[in-house]
Amino acid sequence: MSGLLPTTINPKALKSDALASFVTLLESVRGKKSLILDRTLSAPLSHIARFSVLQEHGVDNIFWLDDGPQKDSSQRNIVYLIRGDIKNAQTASAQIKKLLQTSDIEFDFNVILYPRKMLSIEKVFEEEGVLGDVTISEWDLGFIPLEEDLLSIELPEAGYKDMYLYGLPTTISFSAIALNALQKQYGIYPRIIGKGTQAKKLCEQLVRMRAEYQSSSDTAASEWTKGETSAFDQLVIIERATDMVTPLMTQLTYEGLIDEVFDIKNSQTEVPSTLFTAANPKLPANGAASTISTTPIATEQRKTRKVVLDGSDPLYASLRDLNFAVVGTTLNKFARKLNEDYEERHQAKTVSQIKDFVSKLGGLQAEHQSLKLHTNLAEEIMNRTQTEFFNRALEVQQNLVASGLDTSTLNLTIEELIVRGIPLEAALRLLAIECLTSGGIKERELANFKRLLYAQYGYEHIITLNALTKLDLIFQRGSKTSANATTLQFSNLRKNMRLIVDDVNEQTPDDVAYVYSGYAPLSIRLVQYVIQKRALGTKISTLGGSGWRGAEDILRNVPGDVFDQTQKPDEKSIKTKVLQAARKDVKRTVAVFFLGGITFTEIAALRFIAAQESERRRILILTTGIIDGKDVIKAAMDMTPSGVSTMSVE
Amino acid sequence: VIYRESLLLDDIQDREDKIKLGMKIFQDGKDAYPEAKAMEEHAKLYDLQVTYEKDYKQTFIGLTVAETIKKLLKIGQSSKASKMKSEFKVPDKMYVFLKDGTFPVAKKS
Repeated sequence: MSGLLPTTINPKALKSDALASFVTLLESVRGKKSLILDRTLSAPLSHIARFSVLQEHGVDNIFWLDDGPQKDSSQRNIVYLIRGDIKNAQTASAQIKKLLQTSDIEFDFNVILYPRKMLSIEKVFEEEGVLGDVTISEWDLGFIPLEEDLLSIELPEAGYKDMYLYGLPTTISFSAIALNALQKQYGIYPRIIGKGTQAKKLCEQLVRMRAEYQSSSDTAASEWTKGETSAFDQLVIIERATDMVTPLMTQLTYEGLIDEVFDIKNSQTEVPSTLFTAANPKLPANGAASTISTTPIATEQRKTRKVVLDGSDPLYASLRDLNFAVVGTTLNKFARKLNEDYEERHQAKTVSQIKDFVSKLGGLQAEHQSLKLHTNLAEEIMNRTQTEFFNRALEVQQNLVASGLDTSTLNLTIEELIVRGIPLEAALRLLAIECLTSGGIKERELANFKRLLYAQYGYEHIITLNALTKLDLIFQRGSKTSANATTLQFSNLRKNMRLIVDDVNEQTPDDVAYVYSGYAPLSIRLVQYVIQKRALGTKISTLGGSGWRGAEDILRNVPGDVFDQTQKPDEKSIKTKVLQAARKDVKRTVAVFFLGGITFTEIAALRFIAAQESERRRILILTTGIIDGKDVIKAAMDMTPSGVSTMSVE
Repeated sequence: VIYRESLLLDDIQDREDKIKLGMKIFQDGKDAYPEAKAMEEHAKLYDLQVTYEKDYKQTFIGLTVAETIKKLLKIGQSSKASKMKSEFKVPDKMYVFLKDGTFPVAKKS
């Protein structure tokens, strides 16, 4: 490595680093091996390593951890790759124990814990009496690059449930580890600024981690001197709890709607295969290998197919962040352009021109495929968005955020929707938005709603509603008294932060509000406060000052603590200043970290800001995972033993 | 909070007694009155469903109130259905909707 330090963050390097670290772990186990995988880890893993890569490194079979003990014990080496939680450890150790007892082959057990080794896990193995038979190691994968500008830790449910429902510290500590790793590699965050109680804890943890390193050893400390030429301008931490309204709203960007309708997990979505046969009748099998990739392990024949959706598909890259209203015209434009490209062949006269065209043909065909796919997807989404339920629900949502004054008529609509049996999660989303925007539901009405919900969806949802109350999503008006001063005062914010933009332009957006057709996500407005004051209109831009300064009054309406922490590069600070001055011309990166998940619409909005700011700086989006309103509600619903299965009433 | 979970685990196993037990704990707990009442209703629903199963030789257990009413209407037990409606304070709106939704089906069959 040369003396030059990286000044920009390269996600590809992160990816190959992650792969390298995993391969090293695999190689540490000799010979062929079976890999037993925690289901939640398979998707992040597939992001980093294809199955073929794993095979090259001796992986023979892959099993799911929750499929129970394996009958097939052809390999002597067994590698467990599991998330470090106690339940997983118990399952794994029980399986190991059983194998040890029932089989007389000598097995070699290896357990790789993600993201780190923990004493409590070793304890579990010890209790099961198998600690002596296993080798435990850790795979400290930090952020997984999903896109050039988007890194995620990909925690299940984005760590949302752990953090808010169970109050576990794991989400924060995983985040701290990952952020710290980035900091080590690319230099310190000169300034950490953020909003949210948990976010503050995270910030404190980060500062502490750095202090520990500095004091621990010289080698570690020398790593930190990289901070002199930090690639970062600042780190903005926004906690999910500061803005729950946004994820609960129905997303209206193309990518967001795909997520709402089909669910996107790790940039893959499953769509009905009927869409595909329509999409490429001539290529039923692996014709479009570039856009379609089946999972390494096909556990069963599914009726659906996985589609990878990421920026490598140029069409999708241009569509994903658009408001759905304009997706149709964009598709149309693209189709026309494609057609023109095809027409070129008629102009090809000389041999070299023909050659040229033929060489482009492959690319054109890929584009053609992707066009067909997206047209079909868009059509399918159209079908859903044109249903009455969808539109009524959307109307209620928009009214709630826009005015929120007269809830009684809206309540009637919600009531009717419940009676007619919209999915429970949709109903709960509406109720939660109402609570958040208008400070709760009146006692009598809430009781009324509850009775309706129980009657329609079953009594087990007493638990669901309880969980939602715990998450502060559904509550009675006035139940949260002014003792807790930092509850969300939505009506104040609506005006002060310009959350509602009436004349929104969906075709050529001029404000982030386009992502929700008129509602600007509160979380994004918060980010704008820090990095883009002038975009917020005169009222705020006159406030001046950096960081949160000038906005304290407004921020008081948002729950959670505010913090602004500067990290000074150590010792040679004078030298640093010189260096920094010299590097003024370099575009620095603002890292925006969403603790507890981000939605696709928020990503779209951040990209929109990034495009506006591209002259001066880059924006790197970091998160614990990507969520949507369904995920939030499901976090509460999973509490019921029957789970999601009983929720649908026709 | 924990007993709420255990209580529901039990009720899925169709243990009527446990529901009642859970209900008691619920009533003892502080400010959980509405929930306790809902649990009470659940127990009542369960009781009804048991008798319906006996009477009509069809599965009722596990259905929600709305589904139960719907099923009753479907098999032509509208008096039972309207009795349930009043017992579980099902709003008129919902009841009408359930009725409308089921009549066409009844005609077909």
